[in-house]
Amino acid sequence: MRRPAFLSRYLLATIGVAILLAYGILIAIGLAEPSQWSTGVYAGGLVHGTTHVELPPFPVMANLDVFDMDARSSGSHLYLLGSDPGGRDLLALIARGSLPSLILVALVVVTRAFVGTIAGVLMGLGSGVVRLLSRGIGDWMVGFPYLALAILLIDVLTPRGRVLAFVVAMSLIGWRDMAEVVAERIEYVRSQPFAVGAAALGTGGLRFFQIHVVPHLRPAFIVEVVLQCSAVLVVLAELGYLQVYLGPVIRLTQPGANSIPLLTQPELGQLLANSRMYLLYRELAPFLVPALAIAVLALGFELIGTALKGRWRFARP
Amino acid sequence: MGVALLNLSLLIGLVAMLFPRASTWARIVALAGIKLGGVVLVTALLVHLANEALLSSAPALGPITNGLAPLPNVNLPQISGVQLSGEDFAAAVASATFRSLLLILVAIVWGVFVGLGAAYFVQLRGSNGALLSVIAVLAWVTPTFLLAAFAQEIQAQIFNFTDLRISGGYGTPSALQAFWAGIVLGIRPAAYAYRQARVSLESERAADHVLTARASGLPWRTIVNRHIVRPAAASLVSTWLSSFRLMLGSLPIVEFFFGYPGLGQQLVLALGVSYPDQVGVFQPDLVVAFVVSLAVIVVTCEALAQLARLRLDVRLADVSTVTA
Repeated sequence: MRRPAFLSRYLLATIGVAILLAYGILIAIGLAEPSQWSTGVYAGGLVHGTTHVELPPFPVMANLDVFDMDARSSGSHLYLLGSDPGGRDLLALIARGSLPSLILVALVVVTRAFVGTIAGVLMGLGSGVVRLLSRGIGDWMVGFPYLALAILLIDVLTPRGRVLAFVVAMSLIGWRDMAEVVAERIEYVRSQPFAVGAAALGTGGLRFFQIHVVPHLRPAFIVEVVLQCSAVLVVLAELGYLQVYLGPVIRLTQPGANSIPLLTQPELGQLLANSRMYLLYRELAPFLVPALAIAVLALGFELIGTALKGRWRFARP
Repeated sequence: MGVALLNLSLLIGLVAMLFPRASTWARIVALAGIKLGGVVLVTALLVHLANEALLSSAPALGPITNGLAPLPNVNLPQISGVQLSGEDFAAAVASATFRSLLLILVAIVWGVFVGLGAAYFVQLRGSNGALLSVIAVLAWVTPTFLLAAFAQEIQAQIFNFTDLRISGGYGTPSALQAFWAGIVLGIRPAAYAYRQARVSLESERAADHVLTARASGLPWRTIVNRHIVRPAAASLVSTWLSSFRLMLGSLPIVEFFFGYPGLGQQLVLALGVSYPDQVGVFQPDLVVAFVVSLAVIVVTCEALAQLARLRLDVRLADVSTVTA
């Protein structure tokens, strides 16, 4: 028996909101932890109440009496999500890293929405040449491999500021989807009999857009914005894995020797930058926890977007 | 090269205007040329600017650089530390392209066709495909490198239990490695193709002619094949194309993860991204060559897909003829 569609939608939306709320609570717990657990480096820890020594990375749910490089006690701590190879609490790192990452995601989505809306309006309402040009630019952009384009743009723009570089690069590789949605909605409205009637009555330009296009555009726009949050998070993770991340990057490079990135302000992408090393040494927690954090966050946005999409079924032009 | 391509494509476009009958093909070729020329020009410009930015940041910091190390006193491009001459350079790009095409082929066969096929079978069964939709959402939100890590874990577990080495060897182009990397490369495009194809097929299913066909008592399989899939064929080709682009976008990360020496991995290394035991070196010439090679694959597939769309959808072909 088929489950009524609205029940599925509510279920999806509820799960999506629950995921985001749970993530928010996790961030709050992580932020409440003293900063020493996200900045200090620890050599090991004794399992609380025993003499068993654990070396970092500490496992999930490890309750340890931690000591530093000079074997001085640094206090007792519960590592809810385990630690990285420096003994830093992954929960605290993710909590502190989520804020700059989420701010970046918000900035990118807003920029994508802004550029996409302008391009979409040009595609949908512009004259023949303007439409051809704006569509052509959009089609042309997808000829680039998106990760390579993003890395190049970030390299070019980094001297003007790392955040700006990321926002511009990640917006440029993804505005087309938004523009397509806007253009499709405008074309749909323009193909409707009421639009022909409105044009016959002399309603045109901005007023036509305001009265007839905006009410049809709004739902699709909201859905796309939510889905874009998920897409941007995944790109952020992939860039992080390729060692391109937001934080202030200091890398010690000496020809013929290992390249050692120095972690400064944590950020979700940055936490993934050493993934290859962690995998090589079978240290799964420092790799899996930030990767799953991003995937879960993206899932939350995706479920809400899918539920909203089902709520507003969009007719096609 | 970019300017030459742009000029050539504009010339083809002008000639096409004089010969309306041949114009569909000529327009597609001209558009492909314009896209490719633009990619060459913009990539060359960006690479030049990126190199300038890296060079300007390097001296002030000495041995500590901001992200990447610029290439010091090296005139020829190099792969894995070995400097390449002109012929070697072309051969390196060609062999990397061949390896990547092999990987893409595996990914298309398994990934995109599985995605489209699953959407078709869900439509054929008349179910809502809830389970497949959930799997598709989960695959879609999972970053590609995490999927690759899961695949590697499966390889490790199979080895633990059976002593069988099924990974194909790390960093060596082999059939097994192409298989694993292709499987991973195809997962997200498969999820995308499934979701988009479901939307297209559902939208076609709601059309009046499908209702009429059902009312006239045609078997459901006939309705799906003849009245749902056939009218949606052009949009399914578009879906395939979008998932193909997505696949090429993820190619660098998959090849980098598996150490598969194709276009993607070489591009990432040329951009200065390095493995933990290496130093990242930015190599402008190689970046341009690899980006353009990837763009050639995308643009060729786009042109073929456009032709397929015109063949599959009579309405589009009519519009194209009228426009011409």
